[in-house]
Amino acid sequence: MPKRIEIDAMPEGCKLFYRDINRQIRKAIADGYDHIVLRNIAGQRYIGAGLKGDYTIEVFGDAGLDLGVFSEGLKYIVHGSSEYLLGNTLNGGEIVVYGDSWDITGMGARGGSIFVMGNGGSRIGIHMKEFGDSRPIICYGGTVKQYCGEYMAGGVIVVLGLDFKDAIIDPKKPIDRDNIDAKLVKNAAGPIVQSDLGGGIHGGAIYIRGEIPDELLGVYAKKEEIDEGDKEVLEPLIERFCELYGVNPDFIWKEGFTKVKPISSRPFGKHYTTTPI
Amino acid sequence: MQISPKFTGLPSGGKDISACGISALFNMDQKPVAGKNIMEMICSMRERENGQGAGFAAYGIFPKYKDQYCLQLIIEDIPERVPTKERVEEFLLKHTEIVKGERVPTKNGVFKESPDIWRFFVNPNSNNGDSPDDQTKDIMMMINERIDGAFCMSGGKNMAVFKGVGWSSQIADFYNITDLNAYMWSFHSRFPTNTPGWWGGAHPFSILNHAIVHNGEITSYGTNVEYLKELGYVCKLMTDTEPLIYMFDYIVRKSGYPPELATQIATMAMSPPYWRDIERMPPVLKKWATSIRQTHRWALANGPFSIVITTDYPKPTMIGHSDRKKLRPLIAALSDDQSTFYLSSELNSIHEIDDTMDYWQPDPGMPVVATTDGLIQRGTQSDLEKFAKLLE
Repeated sequence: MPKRIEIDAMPEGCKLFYRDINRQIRKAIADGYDHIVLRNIAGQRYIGAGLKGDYTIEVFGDAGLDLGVFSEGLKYIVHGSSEYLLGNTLNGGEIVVYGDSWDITGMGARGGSIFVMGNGGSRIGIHMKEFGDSRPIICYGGTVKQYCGEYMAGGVIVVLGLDFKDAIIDPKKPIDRDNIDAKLVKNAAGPIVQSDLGGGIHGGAIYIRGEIPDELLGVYAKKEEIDEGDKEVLEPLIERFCELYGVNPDFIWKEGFTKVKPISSRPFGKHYTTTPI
Repeated sequence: MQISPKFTGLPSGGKDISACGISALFNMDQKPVAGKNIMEMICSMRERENGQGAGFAAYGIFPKYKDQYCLQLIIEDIPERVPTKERVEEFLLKHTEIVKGERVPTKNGVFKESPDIWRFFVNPNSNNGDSPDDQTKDIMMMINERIDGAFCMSGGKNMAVFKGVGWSSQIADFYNITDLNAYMWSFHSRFPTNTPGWWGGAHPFSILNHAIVHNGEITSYGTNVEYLKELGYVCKLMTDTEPLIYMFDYIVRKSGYPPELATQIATMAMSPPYWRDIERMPPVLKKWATSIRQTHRWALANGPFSIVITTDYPKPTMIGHSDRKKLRPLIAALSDDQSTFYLSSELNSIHEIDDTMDYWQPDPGMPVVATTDGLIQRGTQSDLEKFAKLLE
């Protein structure tokens, strides 16, 4: 039976400093709570930074920069938008955002999965890496901007290009699965990704729903159609996305995916000295 | 121009990793908005400042003197010299007709020491054939360059800039922001990186009716300053934000472009499309983008920045703009009734006063523009198509 505790980030109308919030979270964990609900969050940074273990942190409000930075094994749920650097250097666990999350999501992540309902900004998944079983996943429901998957060395980025704007039943209430009318989810108008997609990529894969023009590809990235192996990667991931946001998987699969991957396993090899180190 | 070290801030004790914060609010129906709103917006981003400077620009605050230029000055007396205010007045009387001069109401006790803040409503003498705008620009620059102890914060019509060294909440308190009502506001909280925090070095920077707040740094400062020197602008304020607003003034007001194109041209000159993207543009746009890059090549602002430019030339306009690689944050939002436009570094600052769900991040290098006609550019690639249509 999970033990649940609520923390108010705006006691008596006064916004708590992020260090105080993190202190309270750590205290709650030490006291044996494993489901921590944060109310009235307004842009505080570094929420749940550096934690490790099987805990759930639920955020109501707009999270600030660096949510879940350096954490491992936790589950974060944000009912609102998150600022930049979501899941910075994530080691494991799951982050679910019912809103947008802009630039540099999942920077240098080594494990875990990040699901965002809405749109992203630039440099999603920059420097993401994988090793052995540890494979980070970033999945955006909406669109992203330029330099997606820049210098990516491993892991999976998925961009679905959906538009949830009309599907929110009551925008004044916190967004969760019950507040989304999945039938009203549309395909986003306009391009799903922008230029320099996978610029400098040397590992991992980016899956974009639909077609992408060649000119959007970054240096040393190439595109190809997905095969059975890719489908095996995508299926559980999309299943989880649909479970979280209530979308019908058939609607997502109606359109094909394009895979973006590095042109070789060592695309930058010839740019450096040939002397073995 | 010389301001003594006592009005430059000293590094604060508990240093925290930080960055500049910007917030702006524009009621597109030109209805006055209380200063409390913008204060709450900027103060919610306390982590983005370190008490080394803050300031705000307010538009539509002098309806009584809306035809005069309001020169708002920071004044500090220099020992064994004629009081600075008298020297300023003597200078102004030589070049202008002073309609009214008054001390700006400030609150005592917010700062241990603070300089005097004065404002003069003036009509420049029209004796040398220059336009009143040009004369006022020269007067502002001459005060900043030649009168020791005086610093001109702004010199526009029906607007003023208020700034100093302190936390944004202190500056708001010092200038009694709650007594002010303006239809357009921009507010900045500073985290100085390359130059000391001093009263004149806080943002916004202003010339005539334009004001700018900036988060980031301009690494092309040297090139931009040389370009401006040729055009009659002198950069003396020890900060990289200053040339941006002078370049904007030059391109919008002096280059002779039609007003409906000028803001788009100015922003395109500052962060132009890459050559590879210009190659792929439709012919009209390609021609213009090439000419803008070539004509204003020294106006290119390199380095990370997100800026908010407010101006009422030719009509009240607010522009949010960022560098081409989007290395600094900027979020735009529109209120539910479509009347108020917000720009801010972080979303939570907008949600502090308005829980609108219509918020978005503009595309890198694309300006988001709101005027009294409404939101005319949302800062997406499709704005370029609109621009191409205008050019035709």
